[in-house]
Amino acid sequence: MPTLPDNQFERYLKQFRPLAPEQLQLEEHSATKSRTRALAAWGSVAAAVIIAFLIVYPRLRRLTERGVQPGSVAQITVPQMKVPQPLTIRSADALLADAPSFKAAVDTLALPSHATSFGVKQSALEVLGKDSEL
Amino acid sequence: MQPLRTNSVEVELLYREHGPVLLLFASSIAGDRGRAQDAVQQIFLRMLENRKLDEVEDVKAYLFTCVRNTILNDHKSSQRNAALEEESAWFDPPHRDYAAERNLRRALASLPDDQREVLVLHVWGELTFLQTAEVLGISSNTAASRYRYALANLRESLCAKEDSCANPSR
Repeated sequence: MPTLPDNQFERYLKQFRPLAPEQLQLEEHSATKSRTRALAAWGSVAAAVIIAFLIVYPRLRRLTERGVQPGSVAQITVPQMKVPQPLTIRSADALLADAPSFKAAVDTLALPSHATSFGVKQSALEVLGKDSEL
Repeated sequence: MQPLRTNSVEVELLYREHGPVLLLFASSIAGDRGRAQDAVQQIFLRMLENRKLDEVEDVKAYLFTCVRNTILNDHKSSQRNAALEEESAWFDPPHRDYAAERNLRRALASLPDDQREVLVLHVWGELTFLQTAEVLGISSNTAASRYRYALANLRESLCAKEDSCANPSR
């Protein structure tokens, strides 16, 4: 049996062509990939909603349970103060005693009393006289 | 400058061009055609996801290296001592000589692993000894030497079976 030289034997071997592999599953791969991405996106959204709910719900619940408590911000209002007309030392004293703060008392005094006091023609002596009578 | 990602057309072209011989190489290492097919597909799909081929100098050698690493990293392959699969064909034989194809496959299977790798890379992969050496992590002299032994052993094995080596024009 004759033996082929190397180069001829190589040529003989090359006549056998390797079989092609199966088609590359690119579409299936990209579909799987996009499905995974969509799932991941939905998962993130769901997680964000759950976290937000867990943060907000206890606060809401606490507020609902507590309702409006005395001294809470919602309740702090300047009490309705009757400013006697005209302004007297006594009424000012009363006003200062009733007001939640000095500033509130001064504010209450400042606006309406001026208007009324300037609107009515009364002398200061008259007012002081009335005051001393009381 | 950021290198461009390998697009699907480029990957598809590479798969068409090198797929058959990569599959042959994978089969010659793994023995199991199915596992070889999976490994080759895996490489191309991975390449599509994150590989930047313009960073690679020798794409062909790189692909063979990837195939080899993938097969060898597979933990099942570390336990492989089984004979190469007999059933599935590896080649499209000349003149539809399926007996010759089977004989060639058996003769290849009878070679030591290192000789078979070198032979497949050089004959069907058409890699130079330098490229072959790069893929296998050996010197080019070793690659050339292994090739000579592989060729002699293959020829002997084929001639022992039948006269297929004596009549290549068939």
